Amino acid sequence: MIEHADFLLQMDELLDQQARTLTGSEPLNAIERWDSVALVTFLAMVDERYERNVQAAAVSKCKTIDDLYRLVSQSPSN
Amino acid sequence: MKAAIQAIEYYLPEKTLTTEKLATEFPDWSAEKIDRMTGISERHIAAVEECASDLGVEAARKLFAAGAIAPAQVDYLLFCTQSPDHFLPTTACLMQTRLNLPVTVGALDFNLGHSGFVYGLGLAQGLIETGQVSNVLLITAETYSKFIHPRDRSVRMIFGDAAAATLVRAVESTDSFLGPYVYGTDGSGAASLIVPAGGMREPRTVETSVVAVDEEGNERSRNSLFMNGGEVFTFTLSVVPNAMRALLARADKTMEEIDLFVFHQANAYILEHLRKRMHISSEKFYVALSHCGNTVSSTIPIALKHAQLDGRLRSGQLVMLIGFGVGYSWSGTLLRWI
Repeated sequence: MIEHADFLLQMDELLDQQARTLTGSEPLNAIERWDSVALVTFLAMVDERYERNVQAAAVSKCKTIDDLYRLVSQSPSN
Repeated sequence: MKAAIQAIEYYLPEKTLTTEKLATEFPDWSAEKIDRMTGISERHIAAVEECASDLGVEAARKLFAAGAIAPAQVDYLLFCTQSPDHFLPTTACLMQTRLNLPVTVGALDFNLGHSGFVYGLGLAQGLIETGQVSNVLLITAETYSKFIHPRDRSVRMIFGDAAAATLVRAVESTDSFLGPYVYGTDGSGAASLIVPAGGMREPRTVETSVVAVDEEGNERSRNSLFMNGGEVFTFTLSVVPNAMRALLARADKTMEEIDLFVFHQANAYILEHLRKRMHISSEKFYVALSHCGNTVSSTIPIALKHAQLDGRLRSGQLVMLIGFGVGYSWSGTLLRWI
């Protein structure tokens, strides 16, 4: 079980912004720092912190932060 | 007879592309951001008229000048490249003449990228330990810059041109210096790192030369190198740890018995992630790409040369080599440094 609040904190850190900035509903295309570097950093964070195996192609289909959360939550463990 | 690496030299073309220059050309990413992800300060770029064979010839000449071997003693040339001089003839044949190798030399090209060096060691060892030849010159050389669109930061910040020349020789010994090996191939990942047009499947045309812009503003045509960084990262995480475990099992060794880990130098970020994921100490994990970038099949021999020069690689040490990338293709072996 991945805590939603913890996931948001990880995403805040990954996007280089203050803790508790994100609520989850934010569209990814409105986040300036969500780019190809952030994608790789995201894959690394998910692998390291949550030990989940997430496919890059599935990430690219996500529209919001909460879509990412659901993807990670439903992904198989490493 | 056993095969062993006797000497390594490498060559970088003169022209450089610094991270500061890239940050100037693409101002929305700072030099600090590029450096944090890549760990690369500068890449060397081949001149317009400079081909992979030219870089390879220079690397081999350094090997001869260092006294590792004389051209007349070489009896097999293995040339690893994905940027050959021509479709035909074989680039290794052209290099035979330029290097003054005997006409009795065996010579072939093989087309592999980041996994190519370890594959080359496997081929060289097979040639030597079946008694076919004694002295194999393994040259890895790449000029990916010629495939890269100048307005594509995603690959320009990663790849540099280079060549490495590695001498693999037969030595009298009952102990092995190379092996065992693990290999892997997954062609379903071909589209993640590819130059789509220019071969027989999709010859270059006016249409393939049309430049498109991606969502980050990178420009490329179908004649250019394309890399899906996220997919390649996912691939790396899915195969490298398993390849390491398989290699250790095949060798009946533990992580603690490995003195040095030298992986394909893809970029500093992914290397550090793999290091932590596999619980490898920094002292045993060698990184050497700041001065030249990701040089494809030459990253491992370049890193080995640096490790030797700075004393991290010493006689008798056991080294794990893992190459992974374009194909997808991966390979790993253990090397006992002579």
